[in-house]
Amino acid sequence: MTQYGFYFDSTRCTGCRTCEMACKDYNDLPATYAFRRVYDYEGGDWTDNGDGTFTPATFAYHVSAACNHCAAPACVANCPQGALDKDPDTGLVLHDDEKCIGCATCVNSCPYEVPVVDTELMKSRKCDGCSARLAEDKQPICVEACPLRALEFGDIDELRAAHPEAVDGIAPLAAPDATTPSVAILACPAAKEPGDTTGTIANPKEVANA
Amino acid sequence: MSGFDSFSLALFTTLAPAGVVAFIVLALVRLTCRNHDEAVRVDRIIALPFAVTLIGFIASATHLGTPANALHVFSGVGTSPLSNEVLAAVIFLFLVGAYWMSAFKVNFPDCLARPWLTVACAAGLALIACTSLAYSARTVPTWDTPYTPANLILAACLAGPVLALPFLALARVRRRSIERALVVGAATALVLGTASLAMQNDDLATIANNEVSALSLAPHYGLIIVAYAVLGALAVAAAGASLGRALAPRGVLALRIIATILALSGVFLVRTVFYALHMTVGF
Repeated sequence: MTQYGFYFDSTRCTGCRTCEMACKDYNDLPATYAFRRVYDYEGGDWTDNGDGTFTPATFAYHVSAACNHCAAPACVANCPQGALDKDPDTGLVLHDDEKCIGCATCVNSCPYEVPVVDTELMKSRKCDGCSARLAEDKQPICVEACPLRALEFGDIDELRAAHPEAVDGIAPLAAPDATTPSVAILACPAAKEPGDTTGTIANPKEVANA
Repeated sequence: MSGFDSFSLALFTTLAPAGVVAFIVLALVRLTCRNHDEAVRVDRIIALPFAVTLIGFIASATHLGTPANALHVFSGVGTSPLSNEVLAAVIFLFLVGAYWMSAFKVNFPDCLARPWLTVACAAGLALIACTSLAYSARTVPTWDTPYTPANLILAACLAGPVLALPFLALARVRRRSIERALVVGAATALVLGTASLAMQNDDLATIANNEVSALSLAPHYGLIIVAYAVLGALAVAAAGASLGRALAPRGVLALRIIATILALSGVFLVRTVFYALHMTVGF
């Protein structure tokens, strides 16, 4: 099976949110949630040199994250309805509206907080890797929208081969051993390991799905 | 998870396991009944633990956004622990509900009642087991611990026997040995359950992700565990007092209803904290 996934270059990302907005526009999402979100991860401190000068050790970087279409997705494993499943051809985690009961089990089990229960539809929704666009040989809308060309999409094995330095998780994303995400991330020099506690998500209200 | 969702799920996980244990107690009393009239009275009263479990089950369904699609739940049996739980609940409720209705037949044969009740007891145990495992999601470190099934089962063993006592009084089936065993069983479950909750609270300090520590999700857990122990102890005391020989039947029933309310309140409190403890290994 081919496993599709995203590549994200955090050395290029400026945190402009164009990917997020293009996705929200294309999928006609309400103001309250997004399928792709940009996390601002910030932290550090400074030391007083005693001579009126200070040495900063602060850091800040952006992580653009959508569904990682994990190889071992927690949402699929825990959904009681069989409403979430991996597409046999693409490995994308797809959602079946006809089966979903909106019980939020996927929301509660995903360590990336990707699925969200739409309070009008009363069903969960998530990124499908722009499956409809893929069928027309187009790239996902977020990839095409990125002005920095920081996103790529395709066979995750090929993406990893093309970017051998890429890793499969940086803070604040969960450690990859939980769900084996199909994602490749080129870490910027400031990037911290998953599980890092020296920084915090600086825009928690912005990235909260409701 | 919204406040209303956790309310309905806490109600379900309080009522359903307690109802199952109370049913099993009544079934065991019924299986050992030699007096036909007593057996019939127990058969009628089985409606009550059935109703308690059913109310819990219905409460749990109120947190669903689109219950119309609910029948697909059986497609996840074997893979999703939640599907297993729902299937176990449906089987238990079907067996017990059908038994209760069938038992209205005049001269309902014992040779049918006995295996039926035995199978229903097994289904009840399966339901408690499945409910206790329904939250074993690997990505939720505060739920995926041995304390989750232990706390649920021990709470059921506290509230279930206490709940069975007013039902036995209503059925006018008074067996001192059984009643004493129920009170002792509930007291034992209270001690073990409080110990398990306290150990879980101690362990919370070791669970954290990037953003939150599990301790910060339930800052008053220690106090709530104390409330659980106090309410449970009062429930056991009231249930124990109802065994007094000098009491009028109405006094017995009143004490047992008070004991039931106390026990269920204590269990409900700690179940609420369980849902508040939700976090993932992510953020």
